[in-house]
This record gives sequence, C-alpha cells and structure tokens, in this order.
Amino acid sequence: MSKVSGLEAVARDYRPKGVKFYFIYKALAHPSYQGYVAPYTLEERLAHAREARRRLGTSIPWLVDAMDNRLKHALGDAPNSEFVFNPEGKLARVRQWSNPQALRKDLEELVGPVEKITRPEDLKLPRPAPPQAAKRGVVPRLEVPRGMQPLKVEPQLAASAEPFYMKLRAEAEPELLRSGRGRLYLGFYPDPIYGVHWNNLTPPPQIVLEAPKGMKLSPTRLQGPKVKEPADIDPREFLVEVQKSPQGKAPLRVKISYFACNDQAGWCKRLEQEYLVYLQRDADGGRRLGTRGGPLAGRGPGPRGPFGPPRAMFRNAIRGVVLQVDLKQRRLQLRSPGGVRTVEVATDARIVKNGRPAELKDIRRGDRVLALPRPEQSGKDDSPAEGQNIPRVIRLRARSAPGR
Amino acid sequence: MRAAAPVWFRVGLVLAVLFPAAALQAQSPRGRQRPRPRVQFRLPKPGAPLPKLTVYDEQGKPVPLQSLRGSWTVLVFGCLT
Repeated sequence: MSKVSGLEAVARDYRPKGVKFYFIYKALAHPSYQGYVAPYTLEERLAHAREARRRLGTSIPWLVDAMDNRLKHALGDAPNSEFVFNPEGKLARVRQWSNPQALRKDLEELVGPVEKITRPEDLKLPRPAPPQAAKRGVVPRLEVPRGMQPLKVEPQLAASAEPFYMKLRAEAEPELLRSGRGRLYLGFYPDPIYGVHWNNLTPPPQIVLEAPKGMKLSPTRLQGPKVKEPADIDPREFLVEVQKSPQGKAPLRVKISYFACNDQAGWCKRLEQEYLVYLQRDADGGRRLGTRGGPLAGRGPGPRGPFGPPRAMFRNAIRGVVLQVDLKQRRLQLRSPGGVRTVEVATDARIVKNGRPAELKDIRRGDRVLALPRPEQSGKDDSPAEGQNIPRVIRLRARSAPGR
Repeated sequence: MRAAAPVWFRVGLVLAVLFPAAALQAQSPRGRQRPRPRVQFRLPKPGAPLPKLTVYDEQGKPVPLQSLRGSWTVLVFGCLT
C-alpha cells in the first residue's frame, strides 16, 4: 500500500477534527519515470498537479510550488517531507520522509485520538495508468555514464508560439563540470501531459548545437534514428563531447526541429524550438532512475506509484553477472545477489547490449545483465522442457564488463 | 581460581564492541525493510513559522501560506515521479 492511501486514510479521520491536509506539488524527483518530464511553465506544473490528483484519486487538495521552487527550498529541499503546523502557524512536527503511521501518532498526540481508524486498504483508491500516446520501447535507450548531473536548461519560450512538446533533459559528466572536458547528455522526451508522440513517417528530428566562444562541441549536428514504427514516445538521446575554457560561462544553444502528433486532438506539426543549456548543475533537476549505472533508465511504469523512490519498479527482474552462456539451450548462468541462478532466454526475447539491439551470442561472461521474466509462465507449450523452475526471460539488457 | 571465558564468548564480545550499530541495524525490522536515506536534508526545526510565501491551487489561483493559519495543517511534498 502506498503512502498516498495511508495519508488519505489519516486525512479522512482527522478532517472532521478540523485538520487541513495539502499535498505540495514540487519539482520532479525522478524525471522520465513513467514518462513524466519536468514542466517548463507554471501552467504545465498545474497540469501535473491535476494529473497527480487523477492518477492517485486523492481527495487531499494539491497546492503547487512556484517554478523557482521557493517553498521546497524554504522547507529543506527533501522530496517527500511532511510538516504539521499548529493553528498559530508554528511548526509542530517535521519528518524527512512522509510516514502516514507516524503522522497518525503525531495527530493523536496533538489533536486527539479518533474513534474509528480508517485503514488505507478500505479506501480502494483508483489507480489509472499513466497516459501513453504511442508505443514505448521502440528505440533502444542510450547507455549513459555514471553519476551524470542535471544541468540548467532554459527553453526559449518567448520564441515559440507552441508549447515544448518534446522536452530537453541535459546532463553532464561530473568531469565536465569540474574540468571543462567531458560528455554532455541531451535527451528529448515527449511530454505525456500534451498526449504527443514522435511522427516517424516524417524525417527524424534534427538538432543543431551552437557553442559559445571558448567551447568546442563534437558533434554539432545530431539526427534522431529512423524508426520503422509510425509513432513512439521513446526519448531521442545523444552524447556530445565538450571541451571548454575555465572562464567560459556562456551557455550553448540547442536548436531542434521535429515532427510531433497528437492523435486525440487530431494534429501533426513540424516544430522548431530552441534551448540554452548552461554547464551548471541544476539543484532541482532530480535524478533519472537508472543513471547510476543501472540499465533500463527511466523506462516503463512501476507498481509502487508516485510517492517515494519506486524501488519495486522491476520487482520480478533478475540482475546478475554472467558466469556462463549456453547458446544451444539459450540459457544464462548468472551470479545474482541471491546466489547463482539460471535463466532461459526466450527465442523472441528482446535483447539489448550497451544500448544497441543484440543477440544472445553477443552476451559474454562477465557482462552485467538485467533480465525480465515473462509475467506469468503460460501454457505447457511455452514452458521449458526441463527445469520448470527456470524463469524464461523475454527482455534482456546487458552491459559490457568494465574495461572491455 | 576462575575459569577463562569460552572462546566463542570472547569472539562475540569483541564483535559486539566493534559492530554494535551494524548488528542493531541488521536485526531491526526497519533496517531490513528500508535502508536509511543517504541524504540528510536541512529541515526547519519545530517552532519555525510558516514561510511567508505564496503557492497556487490547481487552477492557478495564488494561495498565501499565511492563509493556512487558524487550524492544524499538514503539508506533504510530492510529485508524479
């Protein structure tokens, strides 16, 4: 049961006692998780709050922090903190991570106990799926270096009559911020708030980078992949080598032209939009999941929901280091946290290695893999001939062992 | 003359002295369920006043936080991710 249900249960019990409850919508903790990307305007952040109410089925009203995140900064910058203020407006209780059970105890002390306690499971809050305008998982994701830092991005809103349907996320290697040499990550993500997708029936997105004086970029022209699927919502991702002088503080300019569609609204458009990217860490930029070396960065919905780190995103995934590859039986022996185990790779499994489509023969001893088993082992025909307890995986992502 | 303590007892004693926190953490249900957050945030202390800031409701109407005074108020930060 997620924290939201717990908080809703506490709110249901304590509202009659005059306690007011509010969620504060703040900058995204994990941009790109479930497809949601950081809003650029207050209107977009308001749309996020409305979407949060829809997705979570909350009765607790949402208040939205300003775009400069002033309330988040004033109250300590924690992503999921909890505060109880008394009627005089003084802080009575504070908690770094919201905890509905502890909050209930606080309110019992401060306001008094309630006669009947509502259990979170009594509420049966609806959990509609996140919006998905087109297929996901069509374009292989880029394997990004570890420890990438979010950068300050300024969309040139005044220069565009249209919203930024595909939003830029920029990150830098720590080395780039320290020494001025390193790699820059640029990812363009369809914004689900607008219900848009890439239009792959037209030429792929074109990106032009303009370096300020004292900065060298390589390459300066980028192009998205040609995709067979007519539409998808995968990000278009790039890595760029950057070299800049220590004095250089000016931003680089990123220009993108792309084709986007909104099937529900019935339009397809060609757009040209611009950004300024500063090689400065954005303290409110959050962290994309998986960017500390884990594969499947920010991909797919997770069962846990929007509050707190969604660690159970790949609850059934098997992680490990390859000990042995049996190409004949399509089996991998893995050293995983729970011990040595064997998985069978389905013949139709989607295999990606280092961000590129691969085959089982490309998997080597020492590779780190994340394997997703088939959701439910279906009928007899689908089961392995022997060793019924060997999970059959349908997706496999692998990364070369370091130094290879 | 008193007999010396058994070896297992002495080894256990040394380990308990060296790793008490780790042992407690490993044994506590909380420790098993969820690792402690790595980042410690500078949260305001009890007694701190409501910030004199303005936020917005879902329709974009400004809401001064001071307007929340007058009743017990719970604020919880969150987002879609």
